[in-house]
Amino acid sequence: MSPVMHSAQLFLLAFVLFLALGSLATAALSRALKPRIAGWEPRTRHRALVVLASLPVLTSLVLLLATSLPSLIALAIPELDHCPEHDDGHAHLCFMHLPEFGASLVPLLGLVFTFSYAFVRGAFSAAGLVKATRIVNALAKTAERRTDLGIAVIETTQPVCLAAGLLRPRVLLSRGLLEALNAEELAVVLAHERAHVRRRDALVASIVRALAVVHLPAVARWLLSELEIAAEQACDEEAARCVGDRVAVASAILTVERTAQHAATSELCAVAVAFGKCAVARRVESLLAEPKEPASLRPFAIGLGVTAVSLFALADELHHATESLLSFIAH
Amino acid sequence: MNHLWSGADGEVKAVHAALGKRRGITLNTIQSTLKRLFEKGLLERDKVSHAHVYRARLSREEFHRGLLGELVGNLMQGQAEAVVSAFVDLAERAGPEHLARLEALVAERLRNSGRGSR
Repeated sequence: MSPVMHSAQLFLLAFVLFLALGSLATAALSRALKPRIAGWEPRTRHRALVVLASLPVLTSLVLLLATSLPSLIALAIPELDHCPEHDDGHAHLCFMHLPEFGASLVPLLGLVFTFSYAFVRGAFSAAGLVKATRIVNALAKTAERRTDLGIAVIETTQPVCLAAGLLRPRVLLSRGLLEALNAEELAVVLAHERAHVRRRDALVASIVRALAVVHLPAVARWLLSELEIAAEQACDEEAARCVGDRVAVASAILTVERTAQHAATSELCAVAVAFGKCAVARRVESLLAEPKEPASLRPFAIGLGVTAVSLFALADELHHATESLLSFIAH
Repeated sequence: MNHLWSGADGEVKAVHAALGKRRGITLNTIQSTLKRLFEKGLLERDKVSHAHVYRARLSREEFHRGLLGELVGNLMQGQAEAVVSAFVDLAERAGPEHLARLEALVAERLRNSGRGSR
């Protein structure tokens, strides 16, 4: 194998190790921040969850860049090159002196397994997205357009209201729900769904789902479920601002939920009954409670910024520690 | 499908005259699209003299119900959640006792604000 391939193996191995480190750090941070995040207003909570979801990837990219910094500087200023101090068996993370040895069989198989797993998971998710998008497009194309309301009406008695689509989201409302709602409830439902469209929640959720692959399973589950409910609550708050009444939004949610229950019972639809407190209960209780004060993510962002700068300040130490660790793992 | 659901003539040339000319689609494309929809089981056809006359096999409501069922199935498998935000969950219902408790809470708030029960 060529030295370039050896170098690529070592960098990939370092990236995977940093990803694992980022995932563990995010799990610890999520655990510590969970009670605080729960008290934040939905929009800020949603943003914080998106940042937490992207943290392992961001961490690994920052660590990889910080680790590569001495080698990048040596490219520009060859006098600062320190590679001759190492013996030949060292796992060089260097662009000038490519390593003579790559990873041994076990870490190499680990790399192949990790990337194959990520690829297969990605392919399944992409196939699911394509299938769902195809269904949504078929519904939107064959639904009646109501330009006065900015929606497409699906011909079914089932009470359904969706903001659907990744890049060009649109609001789909069923005929059954359109006829079941009064004017105020319809205004709430449409304001809520338009908020989803404006916020591009489907696109954000797709990106977070892709990023969730690198999290510990329990953290990924928590992130995805909390992100979903935070998006719903953020849209509820926007609908409440739009109609000027929080109780009206709570009431509309319950009307649609009750109508959906009737439809599920009468048409024997395949639905699950929530065990314990469901999303509807959390949304309604939140709307009936006093609105939460807007929270700021600035301290959180400053903390992350300071950590990133510290990592760059420790680039030399990080570089040597990573090379030693890679020498131990790879050989 | 929209054209056929509107009750319009399903003969290939008539579909082309209604849709193809306006949108710049050739007769061949219309013919192959109708054939593909027939093969997918969405259309039925009869042979009248030398031409096929197509009509929708499912009503618009049946078609939409089928698609929604498929979407809910995908949601239950966690495949469509990222594409769809439903006003209330399509695949999970609140327990009846939870719903009754929440409705009582909202009704109380509405009573207190002088808007009575809805």
